[in-house]
Amino acid sequence: MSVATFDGFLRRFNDTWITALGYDHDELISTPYINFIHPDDRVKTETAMKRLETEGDVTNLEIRMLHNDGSDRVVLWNAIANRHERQIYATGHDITAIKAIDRMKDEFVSTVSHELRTPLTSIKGALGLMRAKKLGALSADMNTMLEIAYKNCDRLVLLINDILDVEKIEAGKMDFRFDSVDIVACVRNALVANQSYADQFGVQLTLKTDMSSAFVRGDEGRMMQVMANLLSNAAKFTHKNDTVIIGVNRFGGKIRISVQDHGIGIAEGFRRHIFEKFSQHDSSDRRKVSGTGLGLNIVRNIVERHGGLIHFDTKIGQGTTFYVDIPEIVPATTNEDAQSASRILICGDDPDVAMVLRKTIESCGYTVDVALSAAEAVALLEQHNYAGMTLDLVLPDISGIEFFKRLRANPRTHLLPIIIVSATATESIEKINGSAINVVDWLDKPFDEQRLTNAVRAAIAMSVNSSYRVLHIEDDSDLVQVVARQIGAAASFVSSSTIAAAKQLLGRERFDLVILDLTLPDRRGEELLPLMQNPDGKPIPVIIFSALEVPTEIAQRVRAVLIKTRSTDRMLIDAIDELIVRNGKISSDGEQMIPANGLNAHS
Amino acid sequence: MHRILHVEDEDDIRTIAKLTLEALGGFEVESCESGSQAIARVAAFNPDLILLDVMMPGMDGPMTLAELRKLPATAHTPVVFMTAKAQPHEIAKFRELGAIDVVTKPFDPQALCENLDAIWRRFEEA
Repeated sequence: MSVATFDGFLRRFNDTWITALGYDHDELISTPYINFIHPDDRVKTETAMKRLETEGDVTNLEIRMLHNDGSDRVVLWNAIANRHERQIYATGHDITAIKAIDRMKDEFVSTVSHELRTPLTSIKGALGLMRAKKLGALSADMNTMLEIAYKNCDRLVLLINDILDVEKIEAGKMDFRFDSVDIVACVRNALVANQSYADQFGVQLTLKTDMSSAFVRGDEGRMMQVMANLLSNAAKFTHKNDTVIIGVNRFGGKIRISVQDHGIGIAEGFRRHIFEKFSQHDSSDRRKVSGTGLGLNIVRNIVERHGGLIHFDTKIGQGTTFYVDIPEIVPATTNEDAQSASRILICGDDPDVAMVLRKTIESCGYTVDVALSAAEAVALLEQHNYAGMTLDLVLPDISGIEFFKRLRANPRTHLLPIIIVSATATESIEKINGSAINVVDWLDKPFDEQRLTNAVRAAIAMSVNSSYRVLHIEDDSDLVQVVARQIGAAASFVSSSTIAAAKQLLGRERFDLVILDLTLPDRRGEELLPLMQNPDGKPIPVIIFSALEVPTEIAQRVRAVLIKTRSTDRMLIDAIDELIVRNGKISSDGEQMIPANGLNAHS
Repeated sequence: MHRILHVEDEDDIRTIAKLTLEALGGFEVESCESGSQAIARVAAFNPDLILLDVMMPGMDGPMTLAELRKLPATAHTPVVFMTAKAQPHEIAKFRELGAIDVVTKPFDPQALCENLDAIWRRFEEA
């Protein structure tokens, strides 16, 4: 316990401070208390202090503190302020040991789960081979025993998978890949996938819906996991030879999926525990029902991560209906398409930079949307059609390069013009300090020539220029020749195996495309990025190669180089104008143009 | 596809996988207990496909893949990872490393053979 002042010193404290942190009384009283706080948690502490001044209290604030012996202590703080006396009354609870146990538990669960899988792989494989009857005939009794062993092996695998899922959910590490998902199609697929399981109980899964499609923002694999859980539960708990009815409907802006069984219903006392871990129905029904007791806990977590809600209706003796409600998204309409020629998406983590970019781009007559994370950008890309996009390489959720690659892998965005913008907003918030490069594609090393050739063909197809010149900066002369030969007469190639030669060429000659290897032996490929403009100031589209081991590091390096160059806003506008011209050409010349010359024809 | 090079450090899993792929899948299988053994034997065996365990002591699956890519004989041979770690982002990561697909452990023998057949068909179509 302690009493401290807003000017940063402890005034009174009990002896626990001395035993917990190892400093003597005089040290504690004469040193600003921020000095006892782990450097990484000082900003958090200062924010809490401000909150104490404005709101008067702070609860459950976890702060790492520095012990005199050099170790860290995790302390959970609750504090109230007497703003009149300008004093803070705080109680801290040393939770270092609890945190360590938590971490050990997580590691234990993860290790045990992995160690269990190795012997299980052997057991399941061995039993599976015998079951396939490739190792000779078995007697009927042996077969029965074998089926029991195999079934229980599967149960163990499911249990381990569920334990790992629960652990990942609790550690916030469960992976979600959100995309626009047709939930009606997803439910149909789930019915097909789970019917054979239901067959074991003689249960028929029947879909009743009058919708042909409806879209939600979701992870299709996780939604299938939700459906598999609900459908297998319903099949297990409904009466033998019965039907489970699955519905998909619109319900107040949401899509409601319902799964209705005609089983015994959920006992009153169990209802509020049903979504808890290791909860299993303890019914008077004699039928043995296997399960891990984790399924509905996992399901609820997944549904909530989708911004949805799961709930149920149940009547004893009549059955149970589970409902999953997930917000519906509206896909882009044709009305939108007309506007899309002038709609630009800005994606970057810094709101100030985004604001400057927005003002700059809007002043040129474009409609602008801003996404401060990859997730937000994905949501916006689903809602609207864009003429182009600016992308910062540093994003809060995933690396910009990774996001770029995902956009290129997605059929909806694989031709979307993207320019990489790395910028800082200056103090006046009027100008951008940074740079922009027009990236056609970003490929991994080791790469295959075909993908590179396809990217070059796509870039040529999008160009308005009739005499297309490519600068290929690469020290592997074989690769240079292969690409040049494959492109043939569609473009003339100039190659450079060193950075110095490339710099000279870029300063002197005009190019329509540059192929740049960031991981040349001397590792200075990124130095060339600021030079990616022609003598007349027009930006040159670039295809970039990088090794794939350290994408984040490369992203940071590229970003640093681009920010350091501090070119003007003009370059950005040029890049955007250029990509709009290209986009205009694509739509006016017909959609076949790109596939016929480029990406799809050779995939 | 006829010839599969299987790299796996667990003796039992190696034995079972070989029997599975030969008896059920009709493949010709060369088993290796480590990445370095695979690298030493791969040119002589000349596989159509390499099935590579991810977690192995010393040289793990991704490291083995990187070394295999440096050899002329296996610079373009399709590689499928086999792993108990099968979170979607991990599967995506393995694909980025150059694997054409990922199969998970534990495996059902029949399903493993069908799975590899389907992967091979997709690879050939692409």
